Amino acid sequence: MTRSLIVTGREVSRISRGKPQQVAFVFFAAIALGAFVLAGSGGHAGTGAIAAAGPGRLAASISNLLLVASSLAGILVAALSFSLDETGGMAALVRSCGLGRREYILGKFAGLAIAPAVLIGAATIVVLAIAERGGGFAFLVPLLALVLATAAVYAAWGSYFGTFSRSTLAAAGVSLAFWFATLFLYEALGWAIFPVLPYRAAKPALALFLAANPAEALRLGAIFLGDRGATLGPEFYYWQIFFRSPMGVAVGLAILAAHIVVPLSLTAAASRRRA
Amino acid sequence: MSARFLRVSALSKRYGALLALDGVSFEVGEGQCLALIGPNGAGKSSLLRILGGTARADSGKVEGIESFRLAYVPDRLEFPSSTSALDWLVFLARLKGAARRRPEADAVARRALESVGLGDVADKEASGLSRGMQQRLLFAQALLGEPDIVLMDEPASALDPIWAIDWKEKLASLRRSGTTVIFSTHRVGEASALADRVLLFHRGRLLRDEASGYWRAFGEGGAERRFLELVGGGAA
Repeated sequence: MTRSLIVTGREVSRISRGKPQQVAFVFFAAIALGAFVLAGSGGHAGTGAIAAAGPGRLAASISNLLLVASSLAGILVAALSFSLDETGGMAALVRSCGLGRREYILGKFAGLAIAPAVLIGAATIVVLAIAERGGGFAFLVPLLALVLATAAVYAAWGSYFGTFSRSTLAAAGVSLAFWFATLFLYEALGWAIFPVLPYRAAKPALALFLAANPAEALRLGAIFLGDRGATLGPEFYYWQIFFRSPMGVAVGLAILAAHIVVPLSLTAAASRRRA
Repeated sequence: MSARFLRVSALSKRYGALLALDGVSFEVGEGQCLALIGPNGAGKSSLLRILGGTARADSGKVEGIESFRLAYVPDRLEFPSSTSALDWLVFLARLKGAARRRPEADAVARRALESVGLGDVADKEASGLSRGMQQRLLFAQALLGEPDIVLMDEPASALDPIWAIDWKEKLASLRRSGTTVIFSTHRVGEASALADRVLLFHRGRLLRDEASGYWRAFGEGGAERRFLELVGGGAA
């Protein structure tokens, strides 16, 4: 455990010093700031997922952009980092120090997931400094929780693709394809199918739709959290009631955990196969 | 206290169609120094990676390695970006338990850097150092945590003549302190001068396991000629 934390510390330190990461920090901070300020500008609710947590249409758009960016940053940073360590020999050298695969993977993943947290946390401090102009904690807290969960889930999948792929270029390619498919293609497919399904079939189909894709789980989770499930249809409202119950919260957290644990287990298996 | 042994039995490793190791067996006693020689692709690096715990054998076993505090020096490494030579060593010092806290690890890492003449580039990015400097940095990390077995994969291949001499002195110092050393090299003369035993590999098989005196008896040019005879002209 202690040695996992040493790996975590190294990742956070390395990421926070890299030039590309510093540019990303500024990018995130700018988006967070924009989202926060615009959230306080009033207007009616938008259609985006985070509209559930914020009042403005423009704010919702910016919040969605933040979600898209955090998932992209999470998956790419993790895929590149794991791939470079595997192909460059650093992973092997670290293992020769007696560090187990799981310790190494967990430590590295935690660092890669914490780095966006540090970044967004820093952005939040800036935002809160001008809190009187913004939408306040009510808007920011769910948004930040969602962004951090997205970054963590996608970093877990990035860890797998980085370890599984034979080259860094392949790791980046597979990660981008996964990101695009889960964020955009999957949703388009879902919205094409749901209207034609009978109500009885739609309910279980929606549960599967929700649970199988991390992006949808997070998007719809935000909608349910904002009590807007009814606007999407009766089957959405049904699951909203469930997910807002104590049991639903537990199931929701379990789904989120599964989206992290499954790819990390696959990462450990891929690392063993590489040896 | 009984002397420890590292025993390798019928070790085999395949990478796709390539048989990297084919039933390799040998023993090393505590404090001994072994040189692995052979043409490219002979299986030296694969053997060191398996002994170092960074690769798994398809069959066979390695006994006794767990009783040693191990250090592994790969032939090369893509150093992570945005990491100075000092930070990289501090990280490994803490991982190996050579130091618990950052200031202590800092001091240990600085001493290791000084010992390989890299004190003045401590704050430079490790990935931007020359190949020779990187090889010295890799050697420096092996000294952290006082290992009692050091595995080195062509550790002096990129060193300039001055640091090649320094490396030989450090290896001699490791041997004097009772550290077991296994290293690979392409130079038969270097192998027979530094090691107790020389293991000759070819196409994944252990062709000869001789005391270094066997090779020294051929003289400088004679040892190279004998090497070429045994591996069939050096073609891998």
